[in-house]
Amino acid sequence: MEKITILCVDDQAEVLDSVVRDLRPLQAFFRVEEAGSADEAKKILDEICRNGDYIGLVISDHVMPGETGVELLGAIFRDDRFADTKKILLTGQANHADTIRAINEARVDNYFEKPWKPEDLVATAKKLLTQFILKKGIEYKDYMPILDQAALLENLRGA
Amino acid sequence: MTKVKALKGLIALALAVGCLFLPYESFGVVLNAVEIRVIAIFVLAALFWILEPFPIWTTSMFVIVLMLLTVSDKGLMFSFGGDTLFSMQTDPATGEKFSNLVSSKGLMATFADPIIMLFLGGFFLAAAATKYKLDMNLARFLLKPFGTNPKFVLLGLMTITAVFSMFMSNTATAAMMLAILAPVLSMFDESDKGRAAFALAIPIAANVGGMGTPIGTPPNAIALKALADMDASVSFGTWMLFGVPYVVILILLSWLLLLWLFPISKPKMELNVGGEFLKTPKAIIVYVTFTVTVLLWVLGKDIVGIDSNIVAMIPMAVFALSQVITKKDLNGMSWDVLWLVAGGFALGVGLQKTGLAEHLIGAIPFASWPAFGLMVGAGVICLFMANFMSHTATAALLVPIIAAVGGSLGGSLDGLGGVTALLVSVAFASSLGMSLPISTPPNALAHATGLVDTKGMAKTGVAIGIIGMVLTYVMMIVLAHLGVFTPAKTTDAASVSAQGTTIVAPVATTAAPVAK
Amino acid sequence: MIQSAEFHKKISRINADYFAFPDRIFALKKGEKLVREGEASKRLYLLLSGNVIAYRHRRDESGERIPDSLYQVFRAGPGSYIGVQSFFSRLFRSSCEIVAETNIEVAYIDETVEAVEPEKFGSLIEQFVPTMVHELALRNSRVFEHAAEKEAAIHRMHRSEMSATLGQLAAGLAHELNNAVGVLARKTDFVSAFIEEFLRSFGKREAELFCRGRDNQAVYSSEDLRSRAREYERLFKISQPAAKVLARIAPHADSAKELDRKILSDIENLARFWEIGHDIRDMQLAAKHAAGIVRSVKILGGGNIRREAGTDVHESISEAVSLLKPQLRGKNLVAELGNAATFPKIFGDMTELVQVWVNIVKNACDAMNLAGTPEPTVRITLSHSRENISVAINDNGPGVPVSLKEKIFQPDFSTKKSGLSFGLGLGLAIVRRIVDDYGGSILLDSVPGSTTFTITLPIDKPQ
Repeated sequence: MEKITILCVDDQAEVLDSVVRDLRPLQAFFRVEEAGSADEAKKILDEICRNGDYIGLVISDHVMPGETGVELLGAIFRDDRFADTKKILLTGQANHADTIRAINEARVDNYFEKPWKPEDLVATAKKLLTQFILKKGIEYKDYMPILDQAALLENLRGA
Repeated sequence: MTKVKALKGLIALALAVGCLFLPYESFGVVLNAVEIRVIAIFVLAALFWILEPFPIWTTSMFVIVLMLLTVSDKGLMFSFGGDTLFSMQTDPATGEKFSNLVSSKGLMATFADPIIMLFLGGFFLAAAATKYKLDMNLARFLLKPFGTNPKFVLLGLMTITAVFSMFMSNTATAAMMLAILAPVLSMFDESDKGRAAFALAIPIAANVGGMGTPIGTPPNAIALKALADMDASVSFGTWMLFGVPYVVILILLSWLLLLWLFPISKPKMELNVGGEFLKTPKAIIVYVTFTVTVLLWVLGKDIVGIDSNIVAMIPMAVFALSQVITKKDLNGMSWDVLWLVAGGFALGVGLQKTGLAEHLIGAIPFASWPAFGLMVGAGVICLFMANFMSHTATAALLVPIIAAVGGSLGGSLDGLGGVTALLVSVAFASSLGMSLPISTPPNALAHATGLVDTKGMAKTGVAIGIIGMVLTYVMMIVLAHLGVFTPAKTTDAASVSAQGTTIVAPVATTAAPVAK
Repeated sequence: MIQSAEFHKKISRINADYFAFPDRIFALKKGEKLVREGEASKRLYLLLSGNVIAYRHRRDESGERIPDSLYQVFRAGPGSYIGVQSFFSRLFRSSCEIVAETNIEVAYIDETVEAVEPEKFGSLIEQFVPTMVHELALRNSRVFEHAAEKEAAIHRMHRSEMSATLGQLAAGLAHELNNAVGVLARKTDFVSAFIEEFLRSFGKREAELFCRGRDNQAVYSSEDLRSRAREYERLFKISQPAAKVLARIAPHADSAKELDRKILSDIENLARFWEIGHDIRDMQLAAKHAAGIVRSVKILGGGNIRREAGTDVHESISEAVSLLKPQLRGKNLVAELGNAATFPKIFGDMTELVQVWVNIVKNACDAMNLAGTPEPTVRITLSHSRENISVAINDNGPGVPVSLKEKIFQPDFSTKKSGLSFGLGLGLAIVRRIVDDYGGSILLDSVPGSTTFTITLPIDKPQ
């Protein structure tokens, strides 16, 4: 089974902790890493890349000291190493312009407003990770119990 | 790679290497180094496919490479300063080149075998049908007559799934049908057992439907290839002649079984499949090509003079030229399935061309065994294995062996339909393994919906497996009496070895001409 | 208004020709009436000195005067003509009551006056056209001014009403929230105590881990935690979540090994108890945090202002900062506050002080947001002398243009399109009002990249 990582980024430790806890159902299949800032997130990304593992999904807050979430996700979008990596913006404080930039410059796959519903976050993460696994051609059978049905069926139809 | 997988791989490797050092003479067979290597490769392939330390198609590829390096006429050798220090091609005992090396070209050709082309043609048809929504639109069109009574909708779904999986991959068909079904099933009561009936119906119908045509599922291809090598080819039309009625009967029986095990309480249901038939020029090319190809397959070469393998290449050319299938579509095809099948072919080649089959069969008096018992025994082993591993891998392993055995039996099988019946029944048995979520990808998909538990799947899977096998043998006997199958050319082994058995000359039948 | 020199010449000639005869000039004392409303008046007056005010009664639908509904129509100074309408319309009836606001001197003409040099200047009416135009223009501009003034007054009233309402609203909300947050905080304590007690009777290790999680004070960098978690994951062959917990419990591998062996062997299971403890801690912290915000809002919204000696400037700044937490997120805040214990307490009111800091800091944040300042930083520096304390609030935003330096303290000035974000008042105008009231001063020193508001307030009550 390949090592696929979900990276969560938030400067508020308690919020970060909640996100990670909500993702607990996925932890049997994916690694979950946490970063308190965009800088730290980039370090983790580099490290995982060096180990030859996958970054399946990045969930980031927007307003953080230093680089913002949209800037971080934009940098990930432009980085060839993370061409297929899925991105979720999870924020309570992004204004209209930020949101537009998130779509145009970072191609976020999903936008969650705080407070979020854990089940929605997990369902979306599952869907995006399913797409990631299929896109990367990773053996999907290993992840069967956690995959999103609709996304899987859609992909296998064409197989 | 996890530790468990690495461990599995190591165990398989150790056992395979161990096979190189077994005292074969004491078993009563005399084998040379090349034959022993083939045995080791066979064991390695079997264990890799059963334990799955690697994806099964990679094992296939590995088998071909391994055979090229160790048992082919272009095998591995080291030389230094003109002296050959080590060579896979020479016998260290005598210093002479082995006489039973396999042609490297022949091994490589397994990937371009006509039957691989037949399959690839099937892939082109399926890809084009999916791309131009022919599958969805046909599903909607065909579902209509089944009304809104859930019982008949269930039958309709099974019928359509079976028909589609005759031409498309079982997995793709199941995925499509489950996607159609998912929104409807969510409207069922949690307590309605009928949900399980619907969820199970799809993989059952997909697995069963695959038996209907030579391109329905890879085990059929592997059996066809073995038959072709024994000059007992079955044409596309002939296969459908018995395959389709078999599918019809088994689908009906499965339907009744599902209704009995999982009664549906919902009084009415409606399936909404959106869209309409595309009318663009390319879509029309797809419709016409599809129809013409299937017609040519069914009519066979008796009428049009081209065999089904060549027919399969016509849609490839048409779709490529008309850009119905683009480079991206081409690259997206299931090449892994073709490699898997080719690996099975290569094992067969190794078994036959090194003379290993001959020698083993010479050592075991198969011909003295009851022919029917052999046929049933082969089927049962095959069915059992297919429940735990890939259908294709099962067929790839067992078909070459059973083909060799069947060939040695000579005429004693003729009353049952000859070696053709034997191999078709083995192919069918490999498609009937469907009692576990891991048995087939369609089963895994249905199980992942969460609507059916392992127990329910096992109950129906085992029942359908047994019913299907019984039905297969009944049908084979009936077909033999009708004289549908060509008798096989018996191997030399049969005539030289069989001690104390009567050798019955092949009975010429009028139904199909002997090729060559 | 028409102001050409030629026009002036015409007016001057008319005034000299018609209003320079001593027999038609008289004086009135302050408060005396020049004309009564509705009474006959056949004269056109020119006010030579002093001011008059025109009053009028409101009329009902039938045109009757409503008693006691007198309102001011206009006010006029020297050079104004009075009675233009009644004189030239030949109604000879005044529409207003004109009262001398100061002692005045007026000249007049009446219908008996003959036109001067009619062959050169035309008839009397023709000669008086500039006068009429002048007067009309004057009145027109008076009406405009009046309307604008009124508008501004209404606007002012509106804003102060709005801020009062918002203040009340905030105070009410704060009260309600305070109760809710209080309940949450208390009940969290109860639940925590119960869990601890229950776990003690259930298993020593579970209880221990629960308490460790709840009372966890250690703050490790997330990088440390991550590398340690990875180390433990490998070393002890445990799952990632369990390793993360262990990384927080044990600062290094040796201390992890020293843990009760049973804890280590069962960490997968026990990690959950630590997490629950940690959740309780987060809940307590969150309740505390919420309570702090509520208190700040209450201070800002609650209108009872009581200035008294001993008001803590430090406290007012931390209240303001906690109130502005949302605005300050993503910005650097540097507070050089010095020693709170030795800093002089001043005569003042906590609410007002908080309002001053909040408005200045918020203004800085808004400006930096608008300009997209990179690495936005707010710096608050405290200092004091014997008589005064000074608070300097600096930001690295775009700065205030020289042309706006005075304006930004006016009540209606705003660079923001949509004004209502927190509704705490009137922004910098409030700051100015409060600081003036305290007898303090505001110094604005701004260049692009560095803007400093320095507020100086006296320590003692101003005399």
